[in-house]
Amino acid sequence: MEVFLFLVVAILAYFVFRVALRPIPRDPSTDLQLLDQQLHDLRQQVSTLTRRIYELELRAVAAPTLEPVAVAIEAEVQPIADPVEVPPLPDLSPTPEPLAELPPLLPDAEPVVPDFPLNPPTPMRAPEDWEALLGGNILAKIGALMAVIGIALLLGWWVPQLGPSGKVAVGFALSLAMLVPGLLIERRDTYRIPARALVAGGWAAAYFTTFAMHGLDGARVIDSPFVGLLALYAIAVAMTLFSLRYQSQILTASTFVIAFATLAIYPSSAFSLYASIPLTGFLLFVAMRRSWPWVAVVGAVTAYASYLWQWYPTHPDPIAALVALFAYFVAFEAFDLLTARPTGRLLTPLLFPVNSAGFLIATLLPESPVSPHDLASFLTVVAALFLLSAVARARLIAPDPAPLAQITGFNGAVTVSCCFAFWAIGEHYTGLAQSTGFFVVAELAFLAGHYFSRRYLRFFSAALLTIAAFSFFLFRVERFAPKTFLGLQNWLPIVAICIAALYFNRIRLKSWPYHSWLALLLLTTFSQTLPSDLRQASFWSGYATLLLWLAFRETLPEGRYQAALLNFGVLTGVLINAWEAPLWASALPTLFTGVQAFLWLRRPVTNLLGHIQRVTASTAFLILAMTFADRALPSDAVAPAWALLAVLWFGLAQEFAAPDVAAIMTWQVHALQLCILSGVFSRNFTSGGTTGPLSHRLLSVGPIAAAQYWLARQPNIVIPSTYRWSALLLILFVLRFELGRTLTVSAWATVMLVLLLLGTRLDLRLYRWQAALVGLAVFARCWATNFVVLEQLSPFAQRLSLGVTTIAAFLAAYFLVPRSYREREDATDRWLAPWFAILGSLLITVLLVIEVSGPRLTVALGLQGALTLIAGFLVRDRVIRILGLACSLAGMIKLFTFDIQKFDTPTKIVSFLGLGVLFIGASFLYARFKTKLKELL
Amino acid sequence: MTRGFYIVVAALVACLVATALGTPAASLSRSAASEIWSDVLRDADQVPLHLTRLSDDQEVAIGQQLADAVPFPIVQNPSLQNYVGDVAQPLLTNIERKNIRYEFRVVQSTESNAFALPGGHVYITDELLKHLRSEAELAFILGHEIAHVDLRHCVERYQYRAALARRIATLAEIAQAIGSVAFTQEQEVDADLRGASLLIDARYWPHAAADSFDRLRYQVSSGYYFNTHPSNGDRQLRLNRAIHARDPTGRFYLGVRNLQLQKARAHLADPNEWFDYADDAKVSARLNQTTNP
Repeated sequence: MEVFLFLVVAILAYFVFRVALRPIPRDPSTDLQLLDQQLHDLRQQVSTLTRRIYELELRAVAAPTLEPVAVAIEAEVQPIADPVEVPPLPDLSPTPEPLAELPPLLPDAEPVVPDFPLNPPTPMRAPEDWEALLGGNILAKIGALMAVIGIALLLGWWVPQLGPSGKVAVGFALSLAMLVPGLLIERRDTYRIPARALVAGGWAAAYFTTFAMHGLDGARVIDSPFVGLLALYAIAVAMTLFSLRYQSQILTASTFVIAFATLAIYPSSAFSLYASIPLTGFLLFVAMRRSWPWVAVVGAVTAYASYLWQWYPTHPDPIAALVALFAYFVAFEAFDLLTARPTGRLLTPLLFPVNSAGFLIATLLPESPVSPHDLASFLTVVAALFLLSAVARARLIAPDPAPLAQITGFNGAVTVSCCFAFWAIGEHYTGLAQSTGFFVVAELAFLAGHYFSRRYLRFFSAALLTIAAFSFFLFRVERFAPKTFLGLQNWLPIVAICIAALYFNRIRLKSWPYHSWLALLLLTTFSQTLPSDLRQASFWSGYATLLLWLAFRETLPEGRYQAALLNFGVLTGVLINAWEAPLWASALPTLFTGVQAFLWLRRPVTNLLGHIQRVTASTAFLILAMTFADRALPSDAVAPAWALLAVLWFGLAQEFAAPDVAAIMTWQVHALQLCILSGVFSRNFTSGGTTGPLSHRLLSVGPIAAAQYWLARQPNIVIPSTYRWSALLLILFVLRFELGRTLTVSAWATVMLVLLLLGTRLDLRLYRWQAALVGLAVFARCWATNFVVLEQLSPFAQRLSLGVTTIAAFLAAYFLVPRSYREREDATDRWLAPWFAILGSLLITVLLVIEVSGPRLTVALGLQGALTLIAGFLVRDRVIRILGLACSLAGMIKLFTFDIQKFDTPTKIVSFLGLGVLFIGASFLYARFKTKLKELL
Repeated sequence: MTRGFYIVVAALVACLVATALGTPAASLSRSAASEIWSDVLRDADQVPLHLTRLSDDQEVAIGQQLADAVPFPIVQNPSLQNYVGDVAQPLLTNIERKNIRYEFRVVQSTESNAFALPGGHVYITDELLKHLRSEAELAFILGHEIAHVDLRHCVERYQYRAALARRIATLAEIAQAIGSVAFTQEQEVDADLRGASLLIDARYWPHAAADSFDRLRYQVSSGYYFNTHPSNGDRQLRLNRAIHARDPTGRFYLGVRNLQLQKARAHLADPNEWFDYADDAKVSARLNQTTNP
């Protein structure tokens, strides 16, 4: 056993040294030399083939009676690897002069032009060819296999009366019985295929018989395993030599397949496993010697299949099974690499996947020889083996862009190696160590990919780094690392190193941006578990600022996106936790986002994403600043603080920002106004706070309204009228809450007069409009509230005093409107003065209706109409006169519809007579003073 | 930067400093928006209410129908019924709607409540009477209910249906109901103010109104009167402010003993129950003496 292990190790060492000592074909000059060498070899082969054709042609001319050479050579026959040594021909190029030197040999012959089709088309196999293949070839091989199996069974169970020697003798006899006829018949072309099947079967039977001499109890004639092994080697050598002699890939493969099959049909034992190893070795030797890829592939399939058939899952000796499997793997891997060495190309792309898959399936299936306790170690060894394979493939095999070559070359090996390394780490470690192990493997893979310029490895390492990063997140390392390190949990330094490594990859080694995204993921994930006195929002915002700075320095271009993303997180975090965290935890994010907004201030942006990033930073700053103000200031001062922020923000935009930035900032100011209004409505209007004699309502809303009026006057404000309306509403509402429901109208009337004054003196149409609408509000409130609800507990005085005050305000408004406005084209201006007159007159009527009832109301309406009519004449205003007439008419209607019903007959007579006299008198006066009236009008 | 910028910034900074130095009292609420909404609805509702106003006779007829359907039994205690009516009489001298004839009744109920119907029907539960400490408090509650009638709050609920065609009335009532949440609250405030005004005019102790807010809130566990009439600090604040603005002068009657004996001031005027407006401490002592004999 020890000797065998020594041999295996020696073989492995040999291959490893051969591979390691191989110079790296990375240098382009080396590659060029290799190509030159290959070209030279090809030229030699072409000249050799040409020379052989000439020889054949000469022979044909010299001996035309010879039968044509049989062409029943199997399709599988490979070109001769070792050309026959013949004297070199003179230089054939450029002219076929050597032909001219052979006239005696070719007197009448036409000059023969050799015809070498470059790519002869592969003829389609005819149906009869398939029949021949099936009947002549496959059946023969199956028959040989059956015969060998029969011999094996014969030796094991049958002829029990024979002793071991007898069984061995019978076995060899039967082997010879197949070999000798096969060798004899094989010379005839007609029977060549079945003959070779017989020969293969004979050799397989001989190999099995040799195996049985020690491996089978019933046929054991050799007790020493070493001698038994030597015997197997001997028979394997014989088989090999035979295969070399016949140069048939099919024959060789059949021989070895049958030999493996014979080993597989018997109860498993360590010796049978060891016996399969030399078989594999000699098979590969033959395949390498003849450059037969299919022999190697079939051998690999057969070796692993026979193992699974025979020794899985009831392998008698796990060590032997592992040794055998490792030996298979190393042997086929060595073959793959050594055959690729001269040309830099694999002999066959199939061997590596077949070998790897067979090895991994055989070792990792359930109940495999690998103990669960040793699985991590085994996986580590496998990872190391594949890593060696990857290194060897990187040095021996030239890069090939073909997909299959990508899989079977360096890329496949290194992928398997990394996967098994991850598996081994996952099996052996947990928690922090596991995640760290993942990261180390992934980082090493990236570094290897970087330094060896392997794009695939760099890509693959990104996937590995992702797994490592997510393992940090998923396994929640902090649970496994409760100890602290300098007041911090001990995972922090490790994660910090990982993050630093990722940024090193990205910034120093110019890796893909993906690395910095992974670093961001790690950083944000673990910042959530920072100690309680550190708030993640502060950390994130500071980090976002750093990223933005790096992005602007072109060190980390994706930092812009990352900063924007972090700002979203900061906003969310602050808005959720702001009212629980300490005040500075709101201040720091505000400060950092402010710095970001400042960095963006003059930065040119050309695309939409850039705009989004910029808006994100500035919006985050504004929201955080508002939140901070909300927390830091008394509730009454919040809305003014927001207004101050809006004004400063607008000033900053106009003075320092680039034009496109200024436009965005202006829109943010608009949005801020909405927040200010909502703040005023939700806090300040109902606030009962005071500073000295002044209420906080007035103290806060006044400057806010002033700020809005200032903003409305700025040239870059696109909707100045909105600001003026909102300022007006603020003023009206603050007066409403400051003075109460009923006194409000007096203040509103004053506002109306001020607006009218400004609108007429400064010729601001909007202010005139506002004055007109405020007048309407005053009228409505007087009628609906002040004349009905009496908050000051003094009904008559209040109603009358407020009524008179308001009516006086309407009168003043009427006179404030310049007379020239009645000539203007604008209907609003023409009707401005009459509008106030109408409101005032109606209000007087309403007041009279409420205060006076019955016949006195009729008189009052008549008086109002008369006075209004006179006033209309005095001010030469037709609308006033019409109002006077309307009042009079209303009085008369009331008189005839209500009052007169209650009069007795004499009173009715007097009333009618009086009215008649009144109207006649009025008519008379009109006729009498008609001219003067026209002048007055 | 323009001069206006610096002026505005200076004004805002000054405002911040001033408010920070003062006594802040703001809290996050939607009451401001609610009040403004209520103002708008009420003002908008006044015009159609004026146009569809019912005569006093029509209101009395509606009120009688509603009074016949009141589910609470009348307390069979003529002296108590008379006492409540006697307390209310001085309040009626200053009402605006002189054509309405008021009727006051004490009804049995486990809830502490009082309510009014169109046409001048005012009800107070015996449970609420148990929690009162003075005749002035009873007068305020009666004044509050009288104010509902005098301000036409009661009849407004039925006004559209009575005055308009059914379909139009339904639409109008739906529109009114949309704003009724804030609307009724404002009506309660108006009734508070008018009730306090009637109280002062009748020379009853003015602060009985505000006192009843505080005390009944904690003494009555179920069916609290001011719960059915939405109450808040702002309502009490307004009432106090209005009374203070009125600056009442002269002497006002408290009537602790009158309530205990169920003898109205008109029949039993105790000289010790008269207090000046500034005699808050004496009134408190008198009330405490009653509470802790």
